[in-house]
Amino acid sequence: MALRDDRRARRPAGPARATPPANPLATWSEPTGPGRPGTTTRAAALARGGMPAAVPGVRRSGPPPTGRPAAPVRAGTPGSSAPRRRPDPRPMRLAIGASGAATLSALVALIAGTAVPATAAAPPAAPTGAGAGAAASARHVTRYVTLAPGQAPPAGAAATSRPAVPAATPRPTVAVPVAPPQPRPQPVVVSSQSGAP
Amino acid sequence: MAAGTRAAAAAPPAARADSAPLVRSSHRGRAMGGRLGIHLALDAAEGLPRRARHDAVLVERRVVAWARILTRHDPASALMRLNVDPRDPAPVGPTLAAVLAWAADAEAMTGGIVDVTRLEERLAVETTATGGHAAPGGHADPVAAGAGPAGADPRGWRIADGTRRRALVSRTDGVRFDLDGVAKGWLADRALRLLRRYPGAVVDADGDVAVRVAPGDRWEVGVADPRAEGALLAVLVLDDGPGSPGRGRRRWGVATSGTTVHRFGRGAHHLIDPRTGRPAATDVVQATVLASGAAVAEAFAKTAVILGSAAGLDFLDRAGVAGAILLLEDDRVLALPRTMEFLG
Repeated sequence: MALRDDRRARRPAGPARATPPANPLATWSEPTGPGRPGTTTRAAALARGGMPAAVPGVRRSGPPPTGRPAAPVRAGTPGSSAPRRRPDPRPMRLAIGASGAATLSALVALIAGTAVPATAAAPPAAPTGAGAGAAASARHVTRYVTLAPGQAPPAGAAATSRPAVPAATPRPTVAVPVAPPQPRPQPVVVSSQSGAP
Repeated sequence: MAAGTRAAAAAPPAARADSAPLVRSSHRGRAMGGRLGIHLALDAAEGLPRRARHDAVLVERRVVAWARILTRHDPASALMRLNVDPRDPAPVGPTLAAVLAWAADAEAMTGGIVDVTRLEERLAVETTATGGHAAPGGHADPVAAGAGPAGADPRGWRIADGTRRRALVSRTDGVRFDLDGVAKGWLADRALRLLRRYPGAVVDADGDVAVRVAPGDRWEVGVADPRAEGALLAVLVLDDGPGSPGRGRRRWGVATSGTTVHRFGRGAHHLIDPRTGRPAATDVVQATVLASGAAVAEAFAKTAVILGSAAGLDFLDRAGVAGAILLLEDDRVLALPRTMEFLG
């Protein structure tokens, strides 16, 4: 009789307890629902109603900033040889900045809208037919986006690190159908379920 | 105990060119609440199998004695005394220690699918189905009678060497063992070792079969079809001849597990999925595994049923079993491709 020490230490984690391998791609999930709690990201705010007032670094309105003073114009002196004034670059900078922000918000909204897989809307399979009806009526509203390496989830979002493909997903195994055995004398030994007649 | 012994003077169909022909002796009895078959192949030169019959009876008595230690149906068994023993660690005898050690190995081999600590869940299913108590809500739903998901299950146990042939079992509070899923295969293998003086032998422990093939001999093991009594899904031919798919292997184990015999109502059966604590929701009605021993085959067959056909076949393929035959709920019969080499 061979006994082993420390069975608990050797006890492996079951399939449900298996630790998935580290995935360089982290995902953060964001529960949504009435009021969409947690969707206070800047990009989401931009997608909903344009640029919020609290966006740092971007001005929405107000008087143009005062820069260098304009050169005095001397009237009544045609043919003067004063140097030609360059156009003020600030309005153009504001226009380019605003269009860039709008483009960025549109892209973020597009990516967030397509990142929800089709399976996320499907309820998990019920173990039996008894609970299938109740499970089918549930509406799964979990949404998530995949963060690239180096990106951080926004404040208030729950970040998880899970592989995109579960490690327990079985690879396809080739199985062949078995034809009924030819008529023959019953074997002396028959393997059956325990308790079978 | 209803037992009978008969000797077959006719030689098996396999030719034995290099030795004397074999005769076979079969003994049938009961143990573990089911049938016990002991079949021996011995050289005809040794005379009629009178001694073989005697040895078969002795082995049957040993199997019955082991089963009394390991059963959960007798409060006086060593197993049930362990289940109520408040000591931690609790001492156990060598037979129970050996089976628990194998149970720990089976748990490791199957990734935790074979779990011998699921007695409470199984009793809940059985008790609910037999009217012992109703499920919450007033409806007897055996499927919902399990203890629920085991994601944060703190149960654990271990076995260590003790003194004077006693081992020590440590377990967390509430752990109670049920060896029904690992004991019969272990008993078949253990009984086969007692018959090592015979060139060939088969021990059929209520469907879990341990086989040792004599040189040049062959045994045929049928796979029962649970849909019709007496019908077979397939016949596995285990031989030791040239070109044998076993490539010289002489020790085999064939075990079958399924959900059709021990049923307690719609969707409720005795195979508890440790991931949910409930009867496994599976598309596999019955799984038969051909492996190197009956204990291994029993553990793998049970795992295939619990995992379902896709994951179960993948698991068996990666485990390297010699063969596997699965009967699915849509009446399809699938097998690993290498099983075809053994089909008669």
